[in-house]
Order: sequence, then structure tokens, then C-alpha cells
Amino acid sequence: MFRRHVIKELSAYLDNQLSERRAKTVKAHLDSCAVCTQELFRLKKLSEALKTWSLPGLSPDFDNGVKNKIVRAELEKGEVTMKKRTVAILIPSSVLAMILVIAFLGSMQLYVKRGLRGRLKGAVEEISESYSQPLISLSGKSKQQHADAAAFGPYDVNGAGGSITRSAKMVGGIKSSMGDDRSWGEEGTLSVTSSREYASQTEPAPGQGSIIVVEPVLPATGEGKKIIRTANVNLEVEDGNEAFKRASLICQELGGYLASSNFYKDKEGRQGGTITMRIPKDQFLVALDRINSLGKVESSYANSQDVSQEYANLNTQLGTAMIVYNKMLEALQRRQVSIPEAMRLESELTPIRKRIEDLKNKVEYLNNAVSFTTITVSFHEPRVSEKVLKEQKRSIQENMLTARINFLKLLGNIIKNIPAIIGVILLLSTVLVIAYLFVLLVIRFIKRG
Amino acid sequence: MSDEELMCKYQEGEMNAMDELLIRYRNPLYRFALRLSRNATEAQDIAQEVFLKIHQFRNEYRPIGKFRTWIFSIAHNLCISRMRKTKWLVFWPRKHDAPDELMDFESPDPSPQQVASGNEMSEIVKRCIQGLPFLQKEALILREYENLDYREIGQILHKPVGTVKTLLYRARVQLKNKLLPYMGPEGGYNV
Repeated sequence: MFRRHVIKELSAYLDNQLSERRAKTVKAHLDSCAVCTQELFRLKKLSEALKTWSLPGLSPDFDNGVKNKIVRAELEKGEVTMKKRTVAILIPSSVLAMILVIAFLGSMQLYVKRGLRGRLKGAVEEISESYSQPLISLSGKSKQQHADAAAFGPYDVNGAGGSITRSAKMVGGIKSSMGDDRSWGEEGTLSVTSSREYASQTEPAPGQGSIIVVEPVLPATGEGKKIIRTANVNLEVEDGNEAFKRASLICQELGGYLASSNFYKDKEGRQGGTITMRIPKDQFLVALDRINSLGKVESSYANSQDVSQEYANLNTQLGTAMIVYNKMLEALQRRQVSIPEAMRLESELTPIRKRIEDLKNKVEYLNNAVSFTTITVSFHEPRVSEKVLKEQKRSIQENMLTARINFLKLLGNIIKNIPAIIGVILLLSTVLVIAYLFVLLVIRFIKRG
Repeated sequence: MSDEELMCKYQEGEMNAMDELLIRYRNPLYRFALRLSRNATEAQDIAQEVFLKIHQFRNEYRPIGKFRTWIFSIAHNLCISRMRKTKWLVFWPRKHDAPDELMDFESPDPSPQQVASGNEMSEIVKRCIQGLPFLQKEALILREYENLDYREIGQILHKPVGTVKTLLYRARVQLKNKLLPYMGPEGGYNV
């Protein structure tokens, strides 16, 4: 009846999935075909064999697991909803904030345009004020003297035994080397005034800090006594150059003179020096007071040596020697002596005359030592100088001012370029959004396979 | 109450409907997933995930087709997705799997010596079915064990009925060739 077997149809026939007409045809073939019938039998046996595949039972907590997953998913969904709500709030807020920022920047642009010029002008004036120097005016004997004094140079002041006039020249030299505008009077003493610092330096400081100040204790001076007075004062001054000048000025004003002076500048740039001045004995205490006002007194030492006895002895010896000398000279003049004898007497007078000269010199020395006291002033600038601090402060102020100016300029540039910046931001945002969408599409495409 | 009616009630918010659906479908889904996957844990996870999907997409369900088709379609998609992720389409056992979950065979074809030791027909059938191509295996499982008709299988696999028919025919031919030596004294022959 059939040329071909219906083996391929048997599977569907067994599953009862053939159409009614096709199923009848297959059934008719099976009635007449042993091969197909045998095949159908095997398929039935196969189906029975497949039913033997037993499986392990389901876990008893399966339902709980499902419910837990559902609850967890609901919670996560809530979080997602919250996130969506957050985004829904965040985006309008961001847009509003951006609008406010743009409005603020726009107003700032107008403000800066109007005020930038004025601020820059004020800043420049501030800088100019910071750079302004204290005015120093000098008065001396003549301009010519200071022109000569300038040749000494500012630090070539080691003039042992120099006079007060020379010291004044040196001060002028220092000032002229600073290049300050100066004016000289025709007469009068040298005066140095600094418009800002002089007052504070001439007046004694209210507190002397932690340094122990040893005030000079002067020995009692008796009437007619010969006393040699010396003093050493160590000072810490703010400006070594200024202290040197003022000390010289004190010496000059009190009628003394500079015995020696030394001025130096160390590796750290600190100025210092030593001045040995001779001051009339009547001005000794005044000089010490004024020197102490030059700076912070670190130590002070005064000494007195009573040379009255020595002075009296010298005078006695001198008187005796003079008597002997005069008598010998008188005898020589009265007697008629031969030339050889005269030569002998002359040779005897010579040592007496020499001794008289020596005694006179000693008396002169003592007189000088007694009438002019010796004050040695050593001064140096502190390690942390207020001058340095002022310079650093001024430098910091200048830097801050420069930074402010640069910031204002930068702000002005930013405000000027706001449209360009916004354009770039929008362009970048657009590109990022497009890229994000593209990635999303690719991912979705990949997921769909 | 039919499955579709239960699902509609669940859509309306009656949570007890899920319990009933769980009673009806937890075992079929678990069996289906277990026969396709490698181990019970994974199968249980897939089955639970099917119910989770039902919950998540309950509002998208329309009672046009059969609920059974829809739920097995979800399971099928999950298995495919899991298979792509874990690549467990390759049925060769991994050495680091748990010993009780190992499919400790070198080939899907069982040797007669293994069967001779006792009634291990179930293990033989399992190994033979797992040696089938995925679609053939899935169609066979849906037909033999879940009694779905060809149309439902086609809807689940997204294949036409003719393709399902061919898949089942080829699967049975392969199984018949492998299992006939174990089924009885009668020999078989291929057409």
C-alpha cells in the first residue's frame, strides 16, 4: 500500500500530534507494515524507559526561598524607586542651581567689569605705599664735607684716634651711599632724623625684655680726686647702621671724640660694630643714658680707678726733679767752669731733664684719662630682627596683593569666557549622553542576541 | 480553578494565588530545570527565579495563551540565560564540582558493565538524554515528562511545530540507538 515507511511519522503518531487524517493514514500503514509496527513498539518501549529517569525531591524550603526572593526584590525595587525619585528631584534642582550660578556669574561679570579697574588701581596704590621709604634728613657743616666723606665708603670707619669731625663725615658717607635725599645746613651739628623710627629709638623702651640689664654703678667721686672712668655697654639694636650713626652723634654732641670704631656685617646680613669713645668726665652719665637708649641693653659695665695718689706722687716727683734741675742749672750758670766741666754738668742734667719730661707726660696722660672717660659700645642686630620681619611681612603682603590681583584677573577672564565654557560643557554633555545611549543600545542588542 | 484564573487573581493582589501556583508548578519547573541543568541547587535556583519573574511581571500577563506555556517559556529563557552565563551547555563535568553532583562519566554513552551491576536504567537514561543537543533535549523533556503538545513546545522554544516534530524525532532516534541494547532482547535497526 505504501512505498515508503512512516517511521518519521511514528514519533508524532505516538504523541498523538498528527492530524486526524494523517493519523488514519499512518494507522492504516501500520496495519500492513511489520517494520513500522516494530518501530512503533520500540518507540513505546523507549518512552517507557525514559519514564524511569527518577529525580531527587525538591527542597522543603523551596516556597520560603521563593517568598524571600520576592520580598528582597520588592525591597530592591523600592530602592530603585527611591533612586528614581532622587534623580527626579536632583535633575530639576541641578538645573535650577545651574541657572542660579549662571545668573550669579553674569552679575559678577558686570560687577567685575565695573569694579576691576578701581580695585587694580587701589592695589597699585597699596603697593606704592608699601614700597615708600622713611624720610631721612641730615644737616651738617657743608655739602663738600660729605662729598669728601663719601670717599670713605659706608663701612670703612675704623678710625682709631679719629676726631668727631671725621666721624660725622663717615655718617654722611653712609647716608650718601644709601642714596637718600639729604640737605646740609651751613652751620650746626650733624643731625640724623628718621621720620618713623627716630622717636621710638631716642626714647627708652618701656620694657627691656628678658635680658638682665646691669645698670652702671658709678664710684663716688670726691672733690679734687683724680679718677679714671671706663664703661662697656653691649647693645642689641634693630638697625646696626643707624645705631652706629646715632652713637657717633651722641659722642659729637657731648664734646667727645671717637677713639676707635669698628663696623661689620656678618654672613647672615646682620650689622654690628664697636665704638670706643672718649667723653668729657662731666658728660659721662649723660652719655651712658643716651647710649643705653640706642637699643636693648644686654650688659653694662662701669669701672673707676682712683689715681689721686699716683697723680700726687707724680707731681711731687716732678716738683723735686724740677727743683734739682733748676738748682743745677743755676749753679752752672753762676760758676765759671771750664768747657770740659760744663760738658760733664750738661751730661748730668740730661737724665734729670729726661725724667722731668717723662713725669710731665705721665701727668698729662693722667689728666687726659681723668678728664675724658672711655666708653666702649658694642652693638649688634638680633638674630630675628624686626627689620627682617618687616621686610618679610612686606614681602608677604606684596605676594598676597599680587595673588589677589591675579585672582581678580583670572575671575575676570573666567567671567569673560562664560559663554564659551558653557558651550563646551553642553557639547561634552551631549557627547557623553550620546555615548551612553549608544552603549545602552549595544548592550541591549547583545542581550537580544 | 484554572492556572489562568489563579494568575488573574494574583494580578489583582490575592497573594494566596501564588501559594496555589507554587503547589502546582514547583515540581514541574524544578524537574524541568534539573533535567536541563547540572545539579539540584542550580535547578532549584532557576525554579525559584521563575516564580520571582512571575511576581515581577504579573501585571504584564495576559490570559491569551496557556499559563503553563508562559511559565515554561520563562523557565526556558532563564535556562538559556543561565547557560550563556555559566556555559553549562558543555556537559562534561568540572573537577571542582561537589562529588555528589558530579556526572562522573567520560562519555554520555554508558557502558554495559555499568548497567550489569544493577538497575541503573535511570542513570543510563539521564546520561543519554544529557548527551542530546540542547533543543532536542528540551523538546524531549517537555514532551515526555511534562506532556506538552507540540504547539506548546513550539511556543516555549520559539520554534514552529514542524521543527519541534523534527527535534523530537531526531532525539528519539538517537536515544533509541543508545538505549536499545539495554531495553530487551530484540535488536533494532535504523531506517
